[in-house]
Amino acid sequence: MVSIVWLFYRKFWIFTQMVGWGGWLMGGLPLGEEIWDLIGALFWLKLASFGFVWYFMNTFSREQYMFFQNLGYSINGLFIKAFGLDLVIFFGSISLVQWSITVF
Amino acid sequence: MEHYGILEADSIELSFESRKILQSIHLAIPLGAVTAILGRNGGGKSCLLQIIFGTLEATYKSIRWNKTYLKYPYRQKGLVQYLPQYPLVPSYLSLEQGFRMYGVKIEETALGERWEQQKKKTFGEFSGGERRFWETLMVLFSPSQFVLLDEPFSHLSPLYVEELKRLIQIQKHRKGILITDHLYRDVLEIADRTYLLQNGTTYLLQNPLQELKDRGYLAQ
Repeated sequence: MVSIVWLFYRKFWIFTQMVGWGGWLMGGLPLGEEIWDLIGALFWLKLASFGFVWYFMNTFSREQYMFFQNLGYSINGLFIKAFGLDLVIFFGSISLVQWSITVF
Repeated sequence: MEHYGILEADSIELSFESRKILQSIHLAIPLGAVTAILGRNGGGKSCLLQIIFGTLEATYKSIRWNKTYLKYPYRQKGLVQYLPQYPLVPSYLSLEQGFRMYGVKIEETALGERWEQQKKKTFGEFSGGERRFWETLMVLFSPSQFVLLDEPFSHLSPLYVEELKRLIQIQKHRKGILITDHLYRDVLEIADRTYLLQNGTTYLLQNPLQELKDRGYLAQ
């Protein structure tokens, strides 16, 4: 299941991650306690980027869905799981950055 | 011929704005047989396959598997798989990865040396015809009861077409196969039942070659 979600997410992960990191950069690269002031905005930004990807793929490249539908997956379900994975990777990476700064 | 189960589609109606594409469709896909649909370009064959698969919404439809109504047949595990006309598999997947994800048991495919030579290649590395061939095999050998093949012979060289026909004939003993393609001679050669899709409606043909001429699909 995770490998299928990852395969689906690979189609657009660069875009959604770049949007997230761009938002963090624009917000002044907050870490520690400061990130909590930005976390809501980053969440909505990520949700908006997923909305854009969902609209774009539904409009222009629905044929890319068939591989996953053949495996019995609902596309909306895959988008929700990919969104979860995207958040984990993004906020996990920020935590890693913070940890690295603290340790080194 | 013994049929263990049947996938049926009827009362299908599909319109795009005011244009009716499909109406009064009745189609039965039994297990253990190759069912063919022939029809002109733009006649609605691909739409019909997608409606049966469950990924295209129709105005009306009734898809039943052994008399049980299914709204989304593709979500029933192990029931049906669909080969679309366009490339199916992400280019960055290797043959081995794709076949494994689709649950294909290679030892049952008897692909032998050809498989060993190609299995590490990604789908993006193949030519259009080779990619089509492998994608068709991936769907054909998957452990689903029914497969819907939308123009599997397109882009294939004659040798590949012959090989694919042979493999379809072998696989039909395990599943129900619905095929549509414009290479009608090849399709008729392997089909146990043939439908003509004409004016948005399906006709089950008793004497396919003659009826295809009579109905204007083939020249007299």
